[in-house]
Amino acid sequence: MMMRISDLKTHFPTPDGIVRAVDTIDLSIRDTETFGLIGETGCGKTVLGLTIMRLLHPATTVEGEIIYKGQNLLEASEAEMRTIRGREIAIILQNPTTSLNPVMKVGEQIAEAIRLHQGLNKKDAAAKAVEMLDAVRIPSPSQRANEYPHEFSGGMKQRVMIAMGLACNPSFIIADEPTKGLDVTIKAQIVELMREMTERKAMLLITHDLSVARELCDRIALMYAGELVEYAPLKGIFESPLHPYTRGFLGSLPERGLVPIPGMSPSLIDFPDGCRFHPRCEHATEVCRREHPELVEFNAGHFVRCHHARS
Amino acid sequence: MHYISKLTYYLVIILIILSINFFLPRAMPGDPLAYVLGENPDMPTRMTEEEREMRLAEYGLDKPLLEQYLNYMVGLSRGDLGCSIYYNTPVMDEILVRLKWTLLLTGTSTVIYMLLGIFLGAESAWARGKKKDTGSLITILTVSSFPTFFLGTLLAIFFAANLDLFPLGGARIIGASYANPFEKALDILHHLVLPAATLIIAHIGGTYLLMRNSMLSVLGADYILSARAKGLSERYIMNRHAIKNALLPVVTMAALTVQFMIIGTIFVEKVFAYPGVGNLLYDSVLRRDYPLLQGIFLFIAISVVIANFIADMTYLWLDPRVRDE
Ligand SMILES: Nc1ncnc2c1ncn2[C@@H]1O[C@H](COP(=O)(O)OP(=O)(O)O)[C@@H](O)[C@H]1O
Ligand code: SF4
Ligand SMILES: [Mg+2]
Repeated sequence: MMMRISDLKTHFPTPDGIVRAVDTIDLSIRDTETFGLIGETGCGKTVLGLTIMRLLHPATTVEGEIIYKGQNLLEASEAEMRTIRGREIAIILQNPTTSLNPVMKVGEQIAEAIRLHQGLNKKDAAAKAVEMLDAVRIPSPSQRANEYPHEFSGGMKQRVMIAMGLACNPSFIIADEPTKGLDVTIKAQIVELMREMTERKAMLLITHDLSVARELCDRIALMYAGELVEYAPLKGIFESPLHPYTRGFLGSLPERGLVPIPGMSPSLIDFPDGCRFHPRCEHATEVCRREHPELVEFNAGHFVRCHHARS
Repeated sequence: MHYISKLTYYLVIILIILSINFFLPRAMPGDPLAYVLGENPDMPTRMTEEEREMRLAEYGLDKPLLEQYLNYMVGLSRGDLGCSIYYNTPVMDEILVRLKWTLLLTGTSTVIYMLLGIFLGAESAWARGKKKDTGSLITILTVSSFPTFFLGTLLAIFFAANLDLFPLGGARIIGASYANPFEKALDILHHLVLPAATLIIAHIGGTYLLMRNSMLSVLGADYILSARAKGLSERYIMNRHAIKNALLPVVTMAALTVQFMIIGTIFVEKVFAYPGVGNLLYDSVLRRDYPLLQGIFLFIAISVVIANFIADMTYLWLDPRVRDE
């Protein structure tokens, strides 16, 4: 097991109240699997990724355990975390345009991590950065390494982000919406690249794009209002979804008619009582409004959080 | 390419300034002679028609405008800015003997207040909310809110008159003979401390505050998160990622506030009897020495242009996005 997350809660104290962005999550990720985390915007996906990396503001309350290769990351010191970030666990942040430093050469932004973690000198690290750009199929990489982010297209910036994340050969990768905002052709290329480059690595793929998840993931979890509502192997999710939210999400796939889930995702400060999805659920009954359902194993390896789960 | 087009732009601006300097006084109502002679309008000089014409010819004011303009430009290229009424010597000479002192004073002060403001602002942002941040914030904002003149007087009274640590005024001991260049430099430095300190304290607040805020917003940027995600240390991120981005608005502001530095210099030179151009400007206003004033304004205008040029070049150097526009 590469990573085991248990009872994880990430809460932000704000003037309006406590934002319970992750509340509560349990999941395990195996050594070479790609685990898809899917959910609507604002349900806490990015916060989960940043919690694992310990990149949130110190005022954030984080509870639970994140065991990575036997070590609880939540108890690691900041110095220890700095040796883990980028070298052991890498995150490919959402939004390449704002996540690349506009006044630093792209090659240097890759090379600095290599220098830090692999102890290479400036010249060798720069050469390695060019290799990385080549590996993510950026044409004329040695010239591109000396260019700045604004000289790259959206798809090319995403490739740079991937190169940056994978530069130090981490064993675990968190990829946050790596295909967001890309057109279909470019998206397909990025998916292909991700598949190839993360072949023998564990990856947590955050996306709200089911078609991308279907291409890349071994298992998929659906996240709703800070918690997982269903997770199963890929086939289970696509062929026998159990949770109404999952079914709603599948219905929003292009080939199924792009039907959006009605209603809005709830505020993370005040969750609805009972099942958090009940105000939007057509199957909601009395018990749904009253009792918060537990995540239960419905079929082998197929977990769901719903009072009326059915296949 | 960008640098060259910028350079052309600034050369054109300087040409326009030189032309305005020529046309403006001629476009003003009243007798041009009164202007070059520095007359008090309440007591015009009595002159016969002949005297008048002689004077006009003497200043070349009887010629057609275009010819006057060409003469003016040719004169400028030879450094001819006319004659001071008060000193009765070439304006250029009067300015040049003082310019080195003003350049020394404003140059040193500008470099120090910019660097110090940037450094303290960055450090403050780095220690955001902590004692060190609040402490420097309050101190710097308080001391730099004093008007320059007042601040200069205060420093002069305290450090020069009371404690006798520094001279009250001047740029060096008059008529001193130095054993070696080092001694001379030391004397000049000794005289420079108080006026420079006044200018630095009076101007550091803006740079400090802007750098601090700019740094705070940069530290919240996604690319800083990206840098942290690579495992880089906070110090490294600050030095290599944050500062360069945070400097951009500071450079823009520096260019927009050169005029305050110039005004400040005039006051400081006056307070400390510093033999610079600012002091000369002040006296020339009282003496109605128009040709000299006109020459000084020309120098000020050109120095503002040069300061903007430097700021522009710095910005280009810092920000690759502007370079490619
Ligand atoms: N630093 C923070 N302080 C307060 N609230 C936050 C903070 N970061 C994220 N949130 C909130 O947490 C929720 C989840 O955000 P996020 O994880 O970015 O969603 P997404 O699933 O779209 O990635 C959002 O409602 C967001 O406003
Ligand atoms: S628990 Fe009830 S409200 Fe919640 S998803 Fe299941 S059926 Fe819908
Ligand atoms: Mg997100």
